[in-house]
Amino acid sequence: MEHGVLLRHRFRAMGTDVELLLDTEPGPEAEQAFAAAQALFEQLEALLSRFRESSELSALNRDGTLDASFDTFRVIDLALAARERTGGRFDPTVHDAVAAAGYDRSFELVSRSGAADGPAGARCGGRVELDRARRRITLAPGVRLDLGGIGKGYAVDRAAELLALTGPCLVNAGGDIAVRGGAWPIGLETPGGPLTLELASGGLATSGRDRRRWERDGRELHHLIDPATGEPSASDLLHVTVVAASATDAEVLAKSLFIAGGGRAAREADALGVPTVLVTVDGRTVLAGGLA
Amino acid sequence: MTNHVARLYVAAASVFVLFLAWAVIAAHPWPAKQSASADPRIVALNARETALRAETVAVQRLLAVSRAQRSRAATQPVAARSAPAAQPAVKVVTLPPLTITRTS
Repeated sequence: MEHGVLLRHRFRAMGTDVELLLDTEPGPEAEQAFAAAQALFEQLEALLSRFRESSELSALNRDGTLDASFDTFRVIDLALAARERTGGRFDPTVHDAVAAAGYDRSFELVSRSGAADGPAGARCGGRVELDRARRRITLAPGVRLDLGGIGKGYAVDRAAELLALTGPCLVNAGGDIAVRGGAWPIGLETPGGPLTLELASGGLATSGRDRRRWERDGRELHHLIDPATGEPSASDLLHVTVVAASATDAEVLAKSLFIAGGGRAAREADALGVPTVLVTVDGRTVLAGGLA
Repeated sequence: MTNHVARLYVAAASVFVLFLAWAVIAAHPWPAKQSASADPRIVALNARETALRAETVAVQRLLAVSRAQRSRAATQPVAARSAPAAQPAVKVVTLPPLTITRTS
């Protein structure tokens, strides 16, 4: 794609760097579009963050039930559908397991080493009931939700829809990316050197253990919980990049394939036809899902 | 039949025919002759108005169908609602990237 004037707007939200690219003429329309997209991120973070006492998610986790706003209900609905689709490998009820592993506050506040606060391996797979008529969410006793595995992708998709009203665009929040219109070259690092994927539609996301990691009692831990064990996944993958129809889907699949592990992830990506880049801890790069 | 009875019948029939003719003439079902002096812009405007009225009806029908579909979809669970989305177009290229993806 030949890009004419490419406008960029950067800000921090959801604990990460957000970058908006818009292919349009500079002017008030573009500025308004950027402002609206940034406001959307802030609005969604205020609803979905488990680190904000005032968020709807925190209220739900505290009270066990919530008459939710549209976005909160939709994200939880999507997360539960993803749990079914991935056979439980993606699971929003990992909240207590993530906190038990040490990720119990915004990541920049997590101490990178120290002693464990308590036992690891909290149970996942808890029951969540949805009343669609009233948008009421009810958690089974002891169940709490973490939407960190899907909230950013959802925000990215929503922001891209908003910006697309102004022109071809790309939204990147910490590596979760959605594009609308045009074709966008996106870089990722692999042991063999940088790789560039040109994405013409949909979304892309990368999940892995190489950034959000810390030590407890001399053991390296990370934030990608395997719901089957309630502990950080023992996957042989370093990170997984997935291309899908939306950033939300890509984020879910990236986590699911990461937890599946190297060989199985490649077979599943091929079977589903999901373009995937797998980087293993021993330094190999595997292209799957028709990408090679 | 006496003459005055016949005359009465004839009078009644005449009145009936008169009213019938009056009704037909008042209804003037024949097409009006185009006046030689009718403004063509007025004629075009009238035709455009007729076309717009017809389009409005069609659009209202489409909107009603669309609203009904959205309303049905909103009451369905996400998993049931989502048809498999089209695979995105992606390929490996040698272009310089505009942005990067990484683990967040």
